[in-house]
Amino acid sequence: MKMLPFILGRAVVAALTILVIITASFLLTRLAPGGPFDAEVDLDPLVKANLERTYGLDQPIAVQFRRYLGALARGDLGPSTTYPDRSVSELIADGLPISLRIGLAALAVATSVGLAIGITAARARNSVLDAGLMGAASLGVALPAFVTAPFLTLVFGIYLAWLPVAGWGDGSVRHWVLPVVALALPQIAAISRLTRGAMLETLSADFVRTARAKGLPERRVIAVHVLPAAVLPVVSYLGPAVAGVITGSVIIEQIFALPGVGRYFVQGAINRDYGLVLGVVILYASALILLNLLVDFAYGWLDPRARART
Amino acid sequence: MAGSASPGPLARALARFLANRQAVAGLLCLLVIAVLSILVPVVWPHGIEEASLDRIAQPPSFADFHWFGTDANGRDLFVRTFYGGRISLAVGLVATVIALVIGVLWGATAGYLGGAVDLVMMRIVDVLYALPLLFLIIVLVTVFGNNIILIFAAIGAVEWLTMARIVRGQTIALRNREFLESARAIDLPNQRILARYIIPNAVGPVIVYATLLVPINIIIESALSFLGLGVQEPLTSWGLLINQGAAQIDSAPWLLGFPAILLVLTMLSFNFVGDGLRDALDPGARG
Repeated sequence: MKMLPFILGRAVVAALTILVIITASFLLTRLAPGGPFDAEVDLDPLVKANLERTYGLDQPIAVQFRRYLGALARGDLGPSTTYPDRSVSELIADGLPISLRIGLAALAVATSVGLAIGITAARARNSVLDAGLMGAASLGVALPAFVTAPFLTLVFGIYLAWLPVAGWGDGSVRHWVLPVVALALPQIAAISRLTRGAMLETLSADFVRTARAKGLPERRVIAVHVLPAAVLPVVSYLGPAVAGVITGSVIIEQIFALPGVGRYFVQGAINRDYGLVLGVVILYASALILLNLLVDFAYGWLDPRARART
Repeated sequence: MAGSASPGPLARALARFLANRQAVAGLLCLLVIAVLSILVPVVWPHGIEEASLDRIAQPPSFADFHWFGTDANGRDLFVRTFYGGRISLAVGLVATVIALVIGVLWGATAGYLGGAVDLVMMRIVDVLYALPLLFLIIVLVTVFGNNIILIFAAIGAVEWLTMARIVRGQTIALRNREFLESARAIDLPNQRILARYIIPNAVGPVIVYATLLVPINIIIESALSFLGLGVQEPLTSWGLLINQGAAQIDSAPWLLGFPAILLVLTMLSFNFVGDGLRDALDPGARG
């Protein structure tokens, strides 16, 4: 069995990568000119020195970094200068459930609708339906969320007045719909194009011809032989898809005024709140690296060829 | 030389490009947008900062040269949209050049040196690839302040990864090709080999990808400006105009509509031109 060394090797690299990212982003924020306290108002030097002492910014970088790592190990991401009465960990704990729900819902919608569109287009290839769906997908990939989201709001929130324009309200489904759709649209477009391509490639593969030659009904050929192979590229696209949803959530949460992690991140960035920005970057970067690790394993398990190689 | 009598590779590529209707339409569209972005702020009867209180948030009309209407401060949207186009196009192009330089140097070094250096350099690319790049750009902008030059640099400094991969692949593929061995065998000087064989073969994919990178960078700039982290008033860009338009979408939808249409047109045009260039410059990649 060579599987265990493979998994261990990948896990060690992932852990090192996370450590490098923490170090690099920490150094970047500390070595940069300017700090959170030289914003609009000129602070009295004494007040500024006091503030810097409170936040530990008067210590040497090495000491600051050691403290930061130590706190991080206990799940403490330090204080936020934008929200002085809250810690970064509290802010993230507040925002994460909302971001997570919206993000996971968008991923589920994107994968299921994207697969359905891709399969439909591939089965009707070179028809008007195929051309229409793929034309829409090209447009969907090109349209940024900050254009589609306001238009969705205009149509469904204002003209038709079916759904709330913004806000989280009581967190009921009505408040989810527009953000989730806006977040999912570019991913639906990408996944449907990917699925169509993989379906077409698989449909002309020898093993599918064999299955047809055996006289299997078309439905069974698709479900048993084509789909499992055609789904593989979608699995390996999950990493980029999650990255896209996380990036999109920053914009979507801003547009729909949702109190998620992305909104705190933007507030932190506008106010040069290094603790908050650093905390969110570390959280999302680690999550993505771990996810990519899982996708690698899943791929190795799903694809017989990759299984043979490891 | 015999090659000079028949049409050269460039002429053939040009002919292939011109035969592609989508690509030509995209190129024409880009030219029109670029020319308007350069000229309109100079010749238009309204200035970008000229506000008039009696014309607040007027819908588009041909009277008085408010073709795209006016914004909440009574400023003419037509001139502001094309002024924003200047900034958005400039950011897209300059950030792409920066990404091009970093990516070509990184990829060529990794591909040419090979071995452990290649492994480490490309592993770094893999790691950065897995990260949400907009976050890195926002960190850079947060740390170094959002002056417009730094926005160029921050986007370029993050968006070179695919370029590095492409150039590395090209370099490795070219290194051991037979026609290069033949060229060396007939004792062509290195400069001539580079100029006549390596650069023409590597430059195609690089140009194609650079064309496709411009709209990506324009989108990133727009997203940053939309979030309030990019271009700031009194400067403007498509992202900032879209942000201001989105805030008044119920009362003045044209404020969102016109900048958004120009942004999307520009993106689609760049994509069409990029696809056309790929078909024209890289015959091997044609399906």
